[in-house]
Amino acid sequence: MNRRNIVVAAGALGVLAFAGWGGAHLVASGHARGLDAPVSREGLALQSRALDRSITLFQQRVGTDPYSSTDLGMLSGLFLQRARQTGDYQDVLRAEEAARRSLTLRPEHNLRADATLAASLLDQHRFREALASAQALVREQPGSATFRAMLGEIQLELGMYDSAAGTFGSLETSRNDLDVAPRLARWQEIEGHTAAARELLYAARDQALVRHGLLPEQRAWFHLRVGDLELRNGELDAAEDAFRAGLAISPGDYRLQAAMARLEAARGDWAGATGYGERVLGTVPDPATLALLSDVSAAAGDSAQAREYAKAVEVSLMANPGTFHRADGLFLLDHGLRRAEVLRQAGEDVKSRKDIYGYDLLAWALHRAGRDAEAAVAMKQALRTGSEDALLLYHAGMIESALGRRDAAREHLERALEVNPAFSVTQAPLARAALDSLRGGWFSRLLPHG
Amino acid sequence: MKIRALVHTKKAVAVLLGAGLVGGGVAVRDSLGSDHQDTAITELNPQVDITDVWAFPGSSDDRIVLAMTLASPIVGSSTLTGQPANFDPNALYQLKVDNNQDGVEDLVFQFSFDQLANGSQTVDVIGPVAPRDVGAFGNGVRDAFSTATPAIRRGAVNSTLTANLAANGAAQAGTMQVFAGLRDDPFYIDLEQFFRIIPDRRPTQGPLSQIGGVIPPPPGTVAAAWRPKCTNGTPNAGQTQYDQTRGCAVDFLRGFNALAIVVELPETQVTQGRGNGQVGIWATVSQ
Repeated sequence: MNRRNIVVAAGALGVLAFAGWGGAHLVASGHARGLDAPVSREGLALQSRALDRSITLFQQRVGTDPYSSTDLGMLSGLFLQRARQTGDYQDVLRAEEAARRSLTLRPEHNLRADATLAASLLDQHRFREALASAQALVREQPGSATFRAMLGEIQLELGMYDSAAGTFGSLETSRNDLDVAPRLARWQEIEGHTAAARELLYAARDQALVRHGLLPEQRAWFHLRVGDLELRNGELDAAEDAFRAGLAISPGDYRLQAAMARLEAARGDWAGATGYGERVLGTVPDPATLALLSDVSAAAGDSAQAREYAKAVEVSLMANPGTFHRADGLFLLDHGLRRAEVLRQAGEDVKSRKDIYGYDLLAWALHRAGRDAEAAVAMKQALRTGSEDALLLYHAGMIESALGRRDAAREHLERALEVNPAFSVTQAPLARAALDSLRGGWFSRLLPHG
Repeated sequence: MKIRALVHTKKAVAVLLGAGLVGGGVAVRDSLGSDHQDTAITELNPQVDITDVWAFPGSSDDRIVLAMTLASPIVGSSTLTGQPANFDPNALYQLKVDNNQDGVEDLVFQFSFDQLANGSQTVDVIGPVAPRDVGAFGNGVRDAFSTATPAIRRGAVNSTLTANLAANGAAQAGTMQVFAGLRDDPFYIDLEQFFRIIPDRRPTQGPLSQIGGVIPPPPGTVAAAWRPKCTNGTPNAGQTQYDQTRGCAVDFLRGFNALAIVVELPETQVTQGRGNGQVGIWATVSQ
């Protein structure tokens, strides 16, 4: 997937969405001030109700003045804001609809609506359309680092890495801006520069914590990004610190609860993972969390429950139109569900979207179909940027192993487990077993070279 | 003193974090900030974003009201995104008065606030008093005055404070009323109409690109009229006639609150018998 990439856009655009009606000024150089006091659950509930009231008010205003492109643009931003807080996909669609109505009335000089339209398209994984919107924004405001960063992010999603390199290269002087740093970090990760990504994200987080005007959920999102990077790289304690810090600011944030579920699963704490995961599902039927709980239930020995969750994943995915998100596709493949469909979709997807995760899904689908020679070709594309993503390295190792290329397989699997020994509840044990086999079985572990 | 009119501006000169009105032909020096919402600082911290500065006659002919509004639009008591709307406890809010037409403040009113606690804030008020320092960064009065200073008042936000003023320069003693808190944003603008007119906002396509003639209804609507005729501000029932010349403007800020700081006091406390009776009034917020 990356669903997390979508959150990048939404989080970064949060400030934009409520910028003044007169301007396109977004997050710019900061003004450090004291850390906000954590907001209580009651406080968040009040804020949530206040946001609902704002939306209702703007809906009424739009009804009163059907020509108000400004009201429609602001309403669109508010829908996106609520979508981020609740995970309600319908609000993303409402945001798109309001932005389009605003742009119909005012096709030009309407940056707010342009930006919320692009963000809503990004949330819907309609990357080609989002690209066109972002390009239009950059044309209208070439000096805006925010819009260029958004363009760069979409280029990453589409696998346009050369274009993204140019875009991000032009943002060097803005690299620490809050709208830029998380996207730049994502690019650094894709390029395999984990340390640089980490440095950017921590600096951005520190800046976000003292930046006035950010909502608690926006501050928490920066903790989430830090924690996710640490979790992807097996730094579980650092990840926990980040997630808990985020929850302290934004208690009940379902994205952070989901992250805690992933963390507990990585630690093998099945009960802890289930507890957090069920809290998430009480807020939003997140397929990724359903998938995690399926794997956690299986690991805990409750295969019936695991099947229930897996079925729920399948039902949830079938309910949404369009192609599977990458992680969802991988889940289906690893659980023997809809493999042919995933393979077909993945093949179609890479025709227009050539990012490394798309090729990874295609490679894994081909591998699961027994077409390992073709899988290796796709996997080469998935690794072409030098990403150190443990899951990609694992897939590469297993494909090489299936092709009998033992040295390459061992190299990839070792690297995957070095990067993150707990990269997946179900697949990390398989990686260890495969590596063990490649090394000559359990006996070899007794030898000095282990 | 003559008060020319209810005076306000959205496009005001700003100092540091924002400022407002220039009245009586007084020019503001050293514009360090910018217009309403035109900088990242004020967009990110609407608590310090001055939207308008106001001066108008008070409750009697010899009294004047000075005010600044900030942080609009507020829905109820929250920002659009649901955060509590309150004054910034780290900022100094000032209304400034030039009463001898030299473009330099002769009097200031200073307002500072404590932290929001259980939904409440307290305001400290100083002034009218001659500033120790002039200019955008002059915070000297607050520094120099202690709570024992006669001109200082402390009270709750969202309530009206009243206090006696001592004679101030050539002025007679009198009473002053102060209000700091939420008020309906009184600024009036038909924003969509405004955007149809000014060249850098007017689109070249779509319904709002047209000036003159019949404005087509928005796509998907049936016979919606651009600014239909109205009576006393209310569109006529069943109005379907397009009429751009006598249409009823839309108050874009209807339903929104702003943070307001309002002072009412005897004019003589402002003019101090100096100059020609005209005063320049502006506002700053600084940190």
